[in-house]
Amino acid sequence: MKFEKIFNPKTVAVVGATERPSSVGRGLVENLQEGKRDLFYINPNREELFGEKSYSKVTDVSEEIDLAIIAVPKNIAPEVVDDCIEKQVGAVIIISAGFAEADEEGEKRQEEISKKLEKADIPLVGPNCLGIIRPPVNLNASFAPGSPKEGTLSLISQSGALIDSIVDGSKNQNYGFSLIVSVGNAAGLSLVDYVRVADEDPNTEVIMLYIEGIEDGREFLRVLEEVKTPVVAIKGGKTEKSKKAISSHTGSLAGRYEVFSAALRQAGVFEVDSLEEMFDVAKLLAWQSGSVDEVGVVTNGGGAGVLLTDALYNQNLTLPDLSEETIRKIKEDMHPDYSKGNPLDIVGDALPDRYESACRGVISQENISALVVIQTLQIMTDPLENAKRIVKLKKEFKKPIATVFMGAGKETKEAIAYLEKNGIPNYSDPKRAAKPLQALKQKQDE
Amino acid sequence: MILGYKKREELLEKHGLKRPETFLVQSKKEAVEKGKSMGFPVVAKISSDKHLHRTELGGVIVDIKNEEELGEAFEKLSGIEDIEGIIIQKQIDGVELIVGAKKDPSFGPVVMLGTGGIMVEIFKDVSFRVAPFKVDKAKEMIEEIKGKKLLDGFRGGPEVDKEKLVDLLVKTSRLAFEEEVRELDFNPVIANERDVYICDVKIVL
Repeated sequence: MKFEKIFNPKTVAVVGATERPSSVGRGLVENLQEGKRDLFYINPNREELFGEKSYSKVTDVSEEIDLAIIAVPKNIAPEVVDDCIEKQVGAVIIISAGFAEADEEGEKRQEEISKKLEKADIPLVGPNCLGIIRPPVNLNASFAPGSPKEGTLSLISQSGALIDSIVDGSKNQNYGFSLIVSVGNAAGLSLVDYVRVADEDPNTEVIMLYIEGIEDGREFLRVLEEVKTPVVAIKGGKTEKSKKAISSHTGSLAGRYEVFSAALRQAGVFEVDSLEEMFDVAKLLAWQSGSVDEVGVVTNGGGAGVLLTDALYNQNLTLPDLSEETIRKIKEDMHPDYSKGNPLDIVGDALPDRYESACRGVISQENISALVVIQTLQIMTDPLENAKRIVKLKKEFKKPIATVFMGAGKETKEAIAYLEKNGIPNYSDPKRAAKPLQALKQKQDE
Repeated sequence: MILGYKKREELLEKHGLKRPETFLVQSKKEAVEKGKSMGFPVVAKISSDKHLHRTELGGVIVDIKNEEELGEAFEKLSGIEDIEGIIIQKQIDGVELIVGAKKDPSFGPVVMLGTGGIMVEIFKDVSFRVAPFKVDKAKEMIEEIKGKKLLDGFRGGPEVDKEKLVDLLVKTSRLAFEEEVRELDFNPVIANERDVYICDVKIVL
């Protein structure tokens, strides 16, 4: 991976390490300690930290330092950077705030640091960022509340706090991450640099972006058009407070957000409106491939089937009729009151055999390219066994499958975990399955 | 700087953008002469870099069917202040669209397509692409607007020559990119089965 010293350092120096509870310096160290790396604590006010020697300056360390993480007050940061340059560290992450985001003085400070590091050819992450996390190599160079599971999602965010919530939120979820980057003020590496890194990362199957502002829109567009990995993005900040003197209709209609949204579309990036949507879409894009055109739905509850159908139509997806052949195949296994159509309502008392027969029939229909299986928990439903049958079908047919196993009871959760660990995304609300399918459809339309 | 009539026409010609027959006249005699030569019906409107919304000022008169009406129209319009002349133009029937361009602070020149008319700012049925672009992106822009059915012969309306619309969008994107236009409106662009006509132009450099 490019920028190996940032994303897989062998030795890390934490400048501003401290044992003080609830501090950024301590959080950084505790996260870093989870990986098996050589860590060096730099704190001139201590002789010892975390049971090891504490150094006054980076230059006091005799070993080579791949990555230096700087979490010191802003006015000390410049001299620390000078030390890092003298020491010839491999890369620098500046966690500290008080730079271009703060005031003019901070902007100058940032500008100077940025120039010096560029001259020394030392890559810079931040300043004013949460840090970076790379589960596959057990690297957590951030002060996030813990480390997320390893997986195939990558997240590049212009908000550090959102990353915090996402890391925490992921503890209850079945998805994991390959790379998480808090962009910060981007005085060195920029958002598009990280996008390139994620695109080249063999573990990354989908790139998620939280964006507040892009300075060089053209470069952004160019890079994102080239990137092969699917990208899903959410834009923070859609309303413009004031519009300057406008002399034309186009001037008034072409607001910053409208143009940005169109540019995302132009670049083949799928735009979503919430973090929940972002992960809904990312799960499907990361775990499955294949073309989506017309969708088949199997459900044991009519209401849920209707809700899903509405949501699919809303996303311009269509449900074809069941063919005679399909009906012939499944007829015998169905309840006499089954819906004989698509959505295929196999009635509330459906057991795994009926589920399997229905799903198999629907997914093998030639003009059905994707299957969604809804389960509403009823007295006789067997969620885990249903899940196993669905996973079996996924291995047999190569078409995309998503599930809507509704509810959150123990049995349902167990089944959902089984599904998702086997690459089948589950949505607890029928509506949530629609956008991901549209995203998958668009992905292969490019 | 809002471009005057002559500069606008030059810029359009440079980029291969055609206008329907249009004349800028200064006298009633000239107006009637031109109207006769083009053939009725014609449209008369004020040419001014000061007024953004001429319709509100009564600065546009359509459906002028003969010389007499044209003469009256000229007199009425001449009464409006701050104009550089009166424009006489062949009246075109078809679907009303708006094509525009703007220099976005992040993305630079961007082209817009929308279903037009004076209500464009209410319905906001528009699509955008970053300029310059080629045929495929222009086609995407057309697919994205809600009113695209209007282009397919809606309720007895014309079936628009989409290729010409695509061509107009591509050329506009080149103009916007090369000339670093700050804001541009082609409003209305009238499209029918024969061609796509830029009936009015406003360019801000």
